[in-house]
Amino acid sequence: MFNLFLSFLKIGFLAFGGGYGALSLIQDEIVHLNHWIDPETFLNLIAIAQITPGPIAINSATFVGFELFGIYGSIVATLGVILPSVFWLFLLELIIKLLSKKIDIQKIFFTLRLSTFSLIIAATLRIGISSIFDVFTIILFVGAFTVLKVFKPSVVWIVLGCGICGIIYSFFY
Amino acid sequence: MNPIKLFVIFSKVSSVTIGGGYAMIPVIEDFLVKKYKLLDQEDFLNIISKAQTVPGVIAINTAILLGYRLFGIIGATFAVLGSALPPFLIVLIVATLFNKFSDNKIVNGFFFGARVGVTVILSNLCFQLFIKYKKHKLGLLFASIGALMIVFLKLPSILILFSITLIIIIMEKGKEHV
Repeated sequence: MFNLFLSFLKIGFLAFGGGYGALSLIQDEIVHLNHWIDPETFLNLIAIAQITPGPIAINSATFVGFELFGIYGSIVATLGVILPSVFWLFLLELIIKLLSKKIDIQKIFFTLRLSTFSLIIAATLRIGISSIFDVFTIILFVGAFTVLKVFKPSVVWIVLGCGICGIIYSFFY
Repeated sequence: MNPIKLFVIFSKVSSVTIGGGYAMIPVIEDFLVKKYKLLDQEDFLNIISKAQTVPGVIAINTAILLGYRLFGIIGATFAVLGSALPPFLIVLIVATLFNKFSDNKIVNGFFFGARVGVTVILSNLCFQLFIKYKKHKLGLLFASIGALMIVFLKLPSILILFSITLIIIIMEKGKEHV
């Protein structure tokens, strides 16, 4: 369980640009490095995190912790992902006070966020590759993307709507 | 206003916002600036920009900064608890149900489709970020290459994150000197 805590601590430390940037890190940690959950379950977890309230990093920490060690696991993982915030915010205040004239800290953080875009693209590709693989899923993807662009609904409706299409489709197969 | 009230406000915000940190910002603003007038717009934007600057969950960063500002460490603790507890409890319930029904045909059908929905949302986010960063062509190029390296060469995300950052900073420094 200590490893679980460390993993989520690491994710919290490196989650530049919020939850979506952390997705790729979370996938690295819990699927590829530690094999705590399989890729399939990871995808379901992201879908769950999208349709339940709250930050995605907290949702996934709670879910993975629970899957592994029940309620204690979920507490440990969630704490792990929250704690680094305290450290970073404290450090930011300190750096701003001490060094703001010497180095452009804002710019460094901006660049880190720009680089995080790389992790977001990676998460999109990885999730896309394992979710979209046949005619039905391609049509659903194009359809849902069009709906999102034209009607601009909340993302919840996109995930729920696609889920319902999936249920209907499952009756024919 | 007291720390308990702060807890209640943050739990309200976190239990109604679905779709992650960015979706929470306007809701937090509604509650804290417009409804409870705890701080003005400019203060709020300052806090949000700090919360987005450092790594971590944006909603938690905001809760810490705001709670600390209003009631010190106790305020920060209550605000964080408020924003973490409701999603925590909801996911616990969902995870329990998920384990019970994971062999169910309808549940599997739902996730089969919902994953496509998640891909749509992420693709749209990428699309928006491309537009947001369109002035930083170099950064976008490296971000795309880095993403391909993570996915196809299976390099660790952290390695890519720091190497790209370093490369961009060095290249921009180079440009300034020319």
